[in-house]
Amino acid sequence: MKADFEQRIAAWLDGRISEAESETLQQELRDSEEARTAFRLYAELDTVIREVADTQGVGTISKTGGSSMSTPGPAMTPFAKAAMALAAVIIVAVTGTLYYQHVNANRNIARITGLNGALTWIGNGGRIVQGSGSEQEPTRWSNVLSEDAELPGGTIEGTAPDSWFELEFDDGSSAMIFGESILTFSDQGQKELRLKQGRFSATVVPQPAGEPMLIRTPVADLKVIGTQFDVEAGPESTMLYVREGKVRIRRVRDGKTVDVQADHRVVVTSDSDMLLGFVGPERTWSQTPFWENLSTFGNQDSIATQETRDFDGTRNLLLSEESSSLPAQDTGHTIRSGDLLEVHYVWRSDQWWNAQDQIAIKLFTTDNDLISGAPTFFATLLSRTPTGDDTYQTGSGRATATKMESGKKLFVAIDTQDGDGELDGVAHVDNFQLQVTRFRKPGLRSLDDFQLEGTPFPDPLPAPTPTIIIGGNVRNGDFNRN
Amino acid sequence: MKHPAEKQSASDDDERYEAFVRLLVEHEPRVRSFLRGLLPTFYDVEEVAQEASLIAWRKFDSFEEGTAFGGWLLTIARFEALKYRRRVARSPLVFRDEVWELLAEEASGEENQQIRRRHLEVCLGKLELTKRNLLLKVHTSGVVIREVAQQSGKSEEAFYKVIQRLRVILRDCVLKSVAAEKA
Repeated sequence: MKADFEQRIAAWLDGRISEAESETLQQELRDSEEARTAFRLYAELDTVIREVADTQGVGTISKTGGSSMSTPGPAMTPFAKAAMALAAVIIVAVTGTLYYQHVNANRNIARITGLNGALTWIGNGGRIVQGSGSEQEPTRWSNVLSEDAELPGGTIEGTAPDSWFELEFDDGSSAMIFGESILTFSDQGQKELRLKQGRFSATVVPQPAGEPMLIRTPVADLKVIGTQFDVEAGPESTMLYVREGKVRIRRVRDGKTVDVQADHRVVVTSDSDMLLGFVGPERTWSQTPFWENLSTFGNQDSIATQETRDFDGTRNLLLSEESSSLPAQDTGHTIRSGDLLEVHYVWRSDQWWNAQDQIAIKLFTTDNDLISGAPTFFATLLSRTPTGDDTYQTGSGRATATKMESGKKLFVAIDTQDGDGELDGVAHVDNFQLQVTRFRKPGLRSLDDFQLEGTPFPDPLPAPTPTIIIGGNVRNGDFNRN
Repeated sequence: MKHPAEKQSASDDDERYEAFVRLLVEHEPRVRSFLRGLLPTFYDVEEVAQEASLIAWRKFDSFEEGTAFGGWLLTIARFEALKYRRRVARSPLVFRDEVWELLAEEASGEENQQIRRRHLEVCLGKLELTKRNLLLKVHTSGVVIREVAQQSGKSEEAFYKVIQRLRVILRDCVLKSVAAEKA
């Protein structure tokens, strides 16, 4: 019985306990103080063995961290030394490279090449610097968060949806975080980054042999030799998309490892199968049926759709605030007065999209019924502002056509509504649907209704049903299927 | 050239930092043991220990010198562990609220840890070298115990039993040593 209990503790510590065993173990722990004491002892044992094992394995690192550190006293046991060295490693490599930065305050490893929005940098000696727009402390580090400033490593945290931060390492590799992301970076001969949460993109030049860039997330570790890739990390999942080269990703929980090639992505969760998914190349407007780029500054060879940042595993519209992009379509529908026009879609914000920026669906007619004609916008349907958590949200709106539009062709444009004065935001739109519901006045004859002379109109009229004019298999143009 | 006042300020910062590091080095092992008894993996332990250390550093100005740094750090760690637990709550490895609370409460009041740790080190040294190395190997960061099991040529089940036997030997050794010291 006792042996079974101990086996269950061991299985828990090794991360291989089944749900049923876990239930039994918890019952035992709940019911018996003796069991809890035994459990604590095993946990303690596990910690100490781990510390000793790690200290033996990382001696060179601990030497770096501990070389200029004040030691408590001369009479240290080997274990105390080990614990101390390990603590130094933790401080150096993990807690925002606090100690390392402190003793290496003058060794800069990266340069800021761009930044925006509210940011916090935790750097040398744990100093916390608020940056980019917010008032800064009058410290010797107060100007640290500015373009071209050099940093010795530390933790950068974006604290608003429109925050972003780009840095370039000494070897030319660059990294960028977007939105509410937390990234710790260090370079002690080998670049080591920890993306605690959020989104991260990097272009990594070939790294020295045996010293790949290491990126740690809550659920997976990545080894990067030299490539371009994007990572999205949350507490329970990590998505890796490799644009060029190859990245090795390893699940922390069970060590399962896969190599992700260019144009592929993988999602790692505690129980995902880690299968690679092919990510199709971006498509231009000229490759996108029905839709075109109506902007006078844009061209039909710019990017229209892509498969990354997807909603449901299919292609989505890449929408930009820039004036060079204005997706629009001739719906083929002729408007009648009273038509109820409804749009439904999903969307999400991406880099540089401000908290006040919105999607604007514009319905319009033109003076010559051609999409190239002079437009008259008769309805602008705004989305809500972004949730800021990088997830898709729904958008919808409705408008009723009047006599002014009656008899004219309906055109639709997917535009943006700027909220911060900066036209640089990017968003994604998927599953766009436009439907029309035609309401008839009771008793009014309609060309659509073939009525035999002398036959009374049915009373009441059948309920009007909406007709999808964009969406599903109708003129969707890749926005909701590959 | 730095202004003298700025130099003085930098020097104060250095002293403060060193004081913090000394205290952290002294008390951090206990925090890690405490966390290991609550969190399912060492990765989780490291995450929370890091966060707790950072928060302790940020709040170090409010720490009253002469009071118990260990207890203060442990309180921060316990709170951070609770926050972390909410994020990983769906894992079957995460204990239910009542079990978690019992373990956290009792571990916070634990007093013999330093003594046990000292004996653990000695007991580990007493293990036969190959057994000791095997135990250390499977506990090294980044090593996947299942892979070591496969390489060993034993079945996974048999391998886990070997490791568990070594843990039991160590536990018995520690309990015996602590009892002898107290006697």
